[in-house]
Amino acid sequence: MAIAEPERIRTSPKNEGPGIGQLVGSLAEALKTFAETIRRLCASKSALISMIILLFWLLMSIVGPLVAPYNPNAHNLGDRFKGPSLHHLCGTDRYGRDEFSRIVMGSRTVFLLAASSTLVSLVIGTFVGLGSGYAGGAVDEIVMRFTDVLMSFPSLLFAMLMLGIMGPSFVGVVIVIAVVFFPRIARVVRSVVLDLKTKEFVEAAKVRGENDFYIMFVEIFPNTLGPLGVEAAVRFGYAIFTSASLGFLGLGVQPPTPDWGLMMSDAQAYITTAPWMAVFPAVAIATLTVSVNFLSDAIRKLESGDL
Amino acid sequence: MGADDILDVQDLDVCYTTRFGTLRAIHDLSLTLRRSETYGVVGESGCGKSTLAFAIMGYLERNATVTRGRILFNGEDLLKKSRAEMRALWGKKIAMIYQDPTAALNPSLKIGMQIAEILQVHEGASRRAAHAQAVAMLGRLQIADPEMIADRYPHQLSGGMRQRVCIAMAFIMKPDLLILDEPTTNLDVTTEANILDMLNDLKSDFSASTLYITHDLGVVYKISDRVGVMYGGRFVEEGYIADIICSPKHPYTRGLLRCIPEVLLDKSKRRLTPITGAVAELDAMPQGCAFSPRCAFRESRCAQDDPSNRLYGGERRVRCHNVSEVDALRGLAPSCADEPSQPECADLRAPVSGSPLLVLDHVHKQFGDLTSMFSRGGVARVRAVDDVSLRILRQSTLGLVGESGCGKSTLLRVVAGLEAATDGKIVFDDQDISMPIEKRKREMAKRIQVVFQDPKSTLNPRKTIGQALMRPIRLTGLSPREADARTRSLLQSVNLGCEFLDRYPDQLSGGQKQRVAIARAFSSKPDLILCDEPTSSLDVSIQASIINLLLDLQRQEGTTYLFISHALGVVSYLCDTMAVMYLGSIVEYGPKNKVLSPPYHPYTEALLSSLSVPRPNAAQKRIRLAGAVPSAREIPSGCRFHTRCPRKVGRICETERPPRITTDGDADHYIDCHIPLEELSRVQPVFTELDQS
Repeated sequence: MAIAEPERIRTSPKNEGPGIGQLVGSLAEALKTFAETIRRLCASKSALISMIILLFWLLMSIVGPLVAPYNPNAHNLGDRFKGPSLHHLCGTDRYGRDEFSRIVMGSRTVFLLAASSTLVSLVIGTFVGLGSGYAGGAVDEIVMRFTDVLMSFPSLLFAMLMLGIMGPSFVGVVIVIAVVFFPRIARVVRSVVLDLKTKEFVEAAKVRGENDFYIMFVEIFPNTLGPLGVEAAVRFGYAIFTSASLGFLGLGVQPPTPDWGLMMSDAQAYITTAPWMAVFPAVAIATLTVSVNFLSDAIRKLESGDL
Repeated sequence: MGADDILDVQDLDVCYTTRFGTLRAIHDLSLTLRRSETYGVVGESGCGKSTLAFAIMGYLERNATVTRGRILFNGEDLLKKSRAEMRALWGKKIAMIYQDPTAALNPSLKIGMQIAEILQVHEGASRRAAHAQAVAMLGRLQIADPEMIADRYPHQLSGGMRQRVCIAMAFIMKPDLLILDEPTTNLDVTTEANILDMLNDLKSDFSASTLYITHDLGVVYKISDRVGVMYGGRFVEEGYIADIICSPKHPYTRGLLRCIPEVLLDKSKRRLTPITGAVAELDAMPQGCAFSPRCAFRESRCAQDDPSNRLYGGERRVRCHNVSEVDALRGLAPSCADEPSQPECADLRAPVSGSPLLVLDHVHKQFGDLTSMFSRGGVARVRAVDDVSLRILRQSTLGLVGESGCGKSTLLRVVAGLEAATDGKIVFDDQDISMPIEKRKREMAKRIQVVFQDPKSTLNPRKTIGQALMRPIRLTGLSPREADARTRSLLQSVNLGCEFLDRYPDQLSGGQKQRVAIARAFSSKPDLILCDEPTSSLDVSIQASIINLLLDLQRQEGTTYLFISHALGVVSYLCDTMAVMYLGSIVEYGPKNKVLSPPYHPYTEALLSSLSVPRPNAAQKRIRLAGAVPSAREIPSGCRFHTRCPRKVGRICETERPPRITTDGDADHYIDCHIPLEELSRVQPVFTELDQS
């Protein structure tokens, strides 16, 4: 299986003999599966390069303050619109703020936004998909039509509409992206559940008198982790993209927080006189989105056994 | 190569290149196929049968290469031919018929057009002429209305009819060589018997040479002249079919023959002898004889040297160190004396008479049909189980047989509580359990368990074997320590070691998974176990060990079984009481030996005579059923079997439900039929032993 799942730890029989030893054992096993996944991903060149880029940005977002040469929000009116140089690797903007520092610190915003919105949509989507698929019948019908309605809106338009009502904020962006994405995740989970719930091991659980919650979460859920992991990776990529778009439109995080989308939006007016202001954030967004997409593609291939 | 030889395969080696290294799938294999001869290739799954077929056809996978040998077809080496040259042969000189006719036919073309296409391509025939020939060919296969069939799409035909169409396509160019890869494996016995008859007829009409690949020794016995027994990519034994069946020489052939549960063989008479171990995997092929790890007669040299083919008499080849030529000349099976003696099975538990454990009283199960909701006449209902009454005695085994779609699985699911009965009553140990599982008392779940059919999906792929067994045991209320001990002892009782506790299902073979499934079913010490064809997807050598396991556990635990299967041999070996099901209804019920001997229900008789069994010393009556099983949506009026019954009396069969006849003095054996009992009793048994002298 491609995705290392912590689930194995949870489903191992409880209160059973020496618990710690087993926990460590399954943890080690989960790590081993994870390492094996990474090792197999490295077989693909595009996946390898993508992983390096992703790791680079992840590192930047963690150790940002150590790397950034300037305070990303410090105005320096004497250094306005400076082109890239040794002092300012990516130039400066209209307030003389260092673009490089802003990009480095902006990666933190991107990761926080994308990761938390993906996580929220995963949790909601998994619950909805599991419940709807397992219940079947009228419940499934109603829930699925509801998600159809949600999915029939163009996602960016829908997000703009909602943020227009709620007012732009970090939490607002997370909620909006989660609402836009969870129906798609629910669909994926549901389709897997529909297949799994007729499997004989599920019937065996019914025959021995297990309740629906046990069957849903202990028998079925762990088997959705593979497709769910692939979907999560795809959604993460889209979340980066969407949060940057919302930032660009001024509906995301608000200034002066460093944000790539916001930086692009600032650069609009000076695209001819100070092109570096647009180029560097654009490169940052592009490298991150493309590498996440390549990586999710590789994970999907790994999951289906094509890699 | 003789003048009469169509196909001559010499010293063939085929290797697959995989990421685990190079795997040798065919190993030093030679075979000669003469004009108008049928050559059977028998072997269990993974022995290389299909690779052999694909090598001859030139259809090998991209990662497979022929590393050695020649394949001469009419004197020309097929391996040297280009793809264009092969294309000229395919369909014209060499044709192939596959296991799955649904995949072999184009779903978007009418049958007539698909057959005609071959003539148009190879002979440049006009559309009209080709179509006429196609229809004529279908007519030749005793298809009732060839014009109508030619005008249909594949999905409108039954599986048996589709396979007939594939056969028509294969024969239409009068090919010299025909390769059949398990063409009847997915079909019901009655259809299989018809198709085998048809192939035998065509063979004499067209004088085609046939390579018939199958895992079923019974089928091979029925159809082939010579046979090669395959194991680990090699032919371990080759010769005339009668010789091989009557005096098998290679330990593997002998093993195969001994593990088939034959009809009329009773569990109390002889225990099946499974072949120990599992079929050798390609990546773990032993250095010496491929069969040596499983062989009861192995010697030290077997593990080191691969024995070469040795010729006995004119046509017999055996690949074994141990068969001495003297034995061969005397026609004696070697080392017969030192074969481990059969374990006694005298201590089988006898069914407990008295109040039965399970009583089904007029049980019905219908499914609404959504697709016809908007059609006129309201909702069409599928009557999957129609008025079934049965009783199962404690510690006995009730065998339920019937062709696919007869409702036996639905009945089992109703008893298990996975489906709710539409009508009727199910009584288990004097308690009403007619409701689905959620509404039953919780302890009922412990007392009734199911062993499912498909080893692939019976275990949760994300749980270790230990977890899969521990959970049901813990549900019975044992402490963790006790449960752990019980898990281990359960594993042992199904002959698996404790090292399996931490393994995941994908690390197990099909037979091992089914053992775990059986252990899981027994974990709560149930009174009744419902077995849903637990051996149908396993190889015969594995099947035998599963059957033995079920018998052993029944003896130890005193469990009652309801065993359903379409394999009459397996059911009749295992069961004490037998029920024959047709279109949702039980047509004959009684103690096994009464059901399997006259008086029969005409359907039981037809089932028995359709069986392919390797029994050279018995004559089998030949009764064939026409047509396919009718749909459960439109069950025929009167006797539901009248549309296919070879003993139909007349109008009465179409209009009135048959009475229930109980045979003389035995209320436990009944037959639903209009034919009077005296007449049914005069029917000859299906199998008659031939005089040995």
